[in-house]
Order: sequence, then C-alpha cells, then structure tokens
Amino acid sequence: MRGGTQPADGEVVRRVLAGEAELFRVLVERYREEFGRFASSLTGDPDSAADAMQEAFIRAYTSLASCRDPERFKHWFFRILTNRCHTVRSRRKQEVPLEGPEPASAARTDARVEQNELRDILARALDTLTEEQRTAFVLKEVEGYGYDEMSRILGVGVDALKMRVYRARDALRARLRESA
Amino acid sequence: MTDEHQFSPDAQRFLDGEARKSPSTPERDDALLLQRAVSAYANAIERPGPAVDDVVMEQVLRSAARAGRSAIWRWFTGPQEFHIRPALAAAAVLVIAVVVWLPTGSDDPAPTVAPVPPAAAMRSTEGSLVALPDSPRQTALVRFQLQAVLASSVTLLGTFNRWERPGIPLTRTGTDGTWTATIPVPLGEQRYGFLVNGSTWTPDRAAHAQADDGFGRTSSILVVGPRGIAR
Repeated sequence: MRGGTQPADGEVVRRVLAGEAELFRVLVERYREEFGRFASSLTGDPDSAADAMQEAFIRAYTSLASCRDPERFKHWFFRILTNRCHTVRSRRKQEVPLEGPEPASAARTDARVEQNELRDILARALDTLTEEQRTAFVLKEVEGYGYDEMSRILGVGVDALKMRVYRARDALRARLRESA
Repeated sequence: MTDEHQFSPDAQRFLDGEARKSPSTPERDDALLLQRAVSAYANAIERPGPAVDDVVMEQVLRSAARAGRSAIWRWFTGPQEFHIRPALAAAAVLVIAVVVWLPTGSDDPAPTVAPVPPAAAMRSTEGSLVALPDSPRQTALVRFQLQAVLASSVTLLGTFNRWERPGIPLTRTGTDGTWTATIPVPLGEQRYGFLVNGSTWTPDRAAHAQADDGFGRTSSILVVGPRGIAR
C-alpha cells in the first residue's frame, strides 16, 4: 500500500474482519491523525486524548463486526471515540483536579498571561457543559467544523446541533464573565 | 445561568460567522472574549503522537492471535459444513478405493501356484499327491502326481472343481511317465480322481483313503489342513 492509493475504510474493515488484523493499522493511523486534535480538545490534554484513542481503537476492533456499514467506519468510530473522551475526561477530573491559571512570572508578557488564563478558564468551563454541548462546541468552535458536517458525523440534525452550541456559548459566557 | 448571559440571535449568528452586522457593545465584547478564549485553548492543543498506533496494534494483534487459536479449536470441535464438487468427490473416492485395494491384492483368495521345492514334499509315491503348506488361509497348495507311462493326457477332477470335465490338466514332468499338477485346494476333506486320455477314470492309489462315489466309481480322499495334507 505504500506509495499507492490508500484503501477505503470499507475495504480495510472487510479485510480485517476476514483475518488481516494487521491492516487495522491503516485505520489507526488515519483516524489518530484526523481525530487526534478533537480528542485532545475534548479531553483537555494529549495524554488523556492518547488514553481515549487507545481505548476507542481497541473497542472498535473488538466490536468491528457490529459496524453495520463499513464504508461509514469513520462516523461509527467517531462516536466511540467521543464516548471514550468523555469517560477519560471525567476519570481524569476525579484523579487530578484541573489546575487554575499559572501564576504570572516577570518574564511573561501580559498578552501571554491573558492567553494562558483564558485557556484555563475555558478548560474548566468546558467541564460545566453537558457531554452533548461540549462535543458540539468543540467540533464547531475549536475544530472549525460546519453544522452540516457535524450533522453527518454525529447523526444529529443541524437545528439540534445549533441549539447545543448556542447553549454552550451562553454557559461559557457566564463563566468567562465571572472569572474576568 | 440567567437570561442576561444568553447571547442574542444576532450575537449567535455573529459567532457562527453568518451575521452581517456585529452585535451591540456589551454582547460584542463578550463574544470577542469567548473567541479569544477559544483561540487560546485551540492554540495549546497537541494531538497524541504515533506511539498510540503501536500500543493499539500490539493489543489488536494479540487479540487476533487469541481469536485465531480459539477459532481453530472451534473449527475442530464444532460441526462444519463442506461444499464439494461431485466430480472431485467421485475422483477422491476412486483414489481412496485404489489405495485401499492395492495392498490387499496379494490376499486375493484366487489360486496361487507357487514353485514347489522337491525337498518340501510330504509324500511322493506313484500315482499320489504331494501337499505343501500354503499361507494360513482357506486353501493349501497340493501337488497331485500320477504315474502313467502310456497316457497322452491326464486331468484331475474332484470336489474342489465340482467334478467338472475336462478337469485340471496335469503335465508330464519326466521321461518316466510322471504327470503332476500343483493347485490350491480348499481346506477340509476332498474327493478326487484322475481322468486318463479323457476317458479312463483312475483313483489315486497312494491316497490315504478310497471311497465309493455311489455311481460305481472309486474316488480318493484327502484331508487338507492349513499346513498341507492332514491325512
């Protein structure tokens, strides 16, 4: 496959199910690359994202036979990954409380301090959202997806997704104003 | 969350990038603050490295190996459905039949005439028979012998050939008028006699016993055991 066209998801899934387990690496590389940022956005850090992705890929492999439409593996896997990200984020939050803004040092510029503070405020504020709101907000605002693409990947109508994003913005606005 | 924290529809459209005009000042400031926070959050994001791939694949291949072993076990222990072409099945049956039949060919109960070394003779008298041990089966090789100097032909008839004429031919084996034939004879008591020149009935005078066959003829009697003539 090196140097040639990468096989479509459907073909890979069917061949993995037929016994070519090593081909699963094609899907792992493909979607670790594509959804890695989203996993980090949703979990809050790359280590948690790595945990979530590992769990999601293993779960996808062990239940691959239940993927009814192999051509839509991407969307099927995305939902597994989203669930794992929420679980890992919740687990991590119980183990290690999210840190507040780092104390400003003399070497830091005001702009940098503000950036870090805003980042941490938003990170904590995301925890106050429902899982559905957090997923929709991250996809829309952090990852830059359009509503139509979000609808395809999540299997949820555009209007419902807009509502989730709007409610998320309102909640985050309140947190930002409180922290400002 | 109170209503004062809710963005207006115009502000939502502004944040979606769809509004033609920016919202009023207080909302606009909050919207821009939210955008800066999102930007700061997004800029700090790092995606997981390729080490994830190896960790995942190690577990996947281990799982596949376990599944493969259990699949083989299930295949051996569970019922299987086979599809086979009739032509191939017939060919396979033929091959198996040939393979099974070939080694048993030598066990065919058909008469086996083996060279008989003279030293192995049990009895040898004029007009008599010599029996040799055959393999431990249902027959034994018996050499029949008749001294008939003037005969032009000698045949052997008996219970072992259902008395059918012209009978089993004997061969002149020397210049002294000795005729012999070595044939497999079924185990048990047998009755027999010689037909000289195709018409003259002659019992074996060297036989252990003679008996009237009920038609005015005398037949010779021999008892064949696994090791040859018993008596």
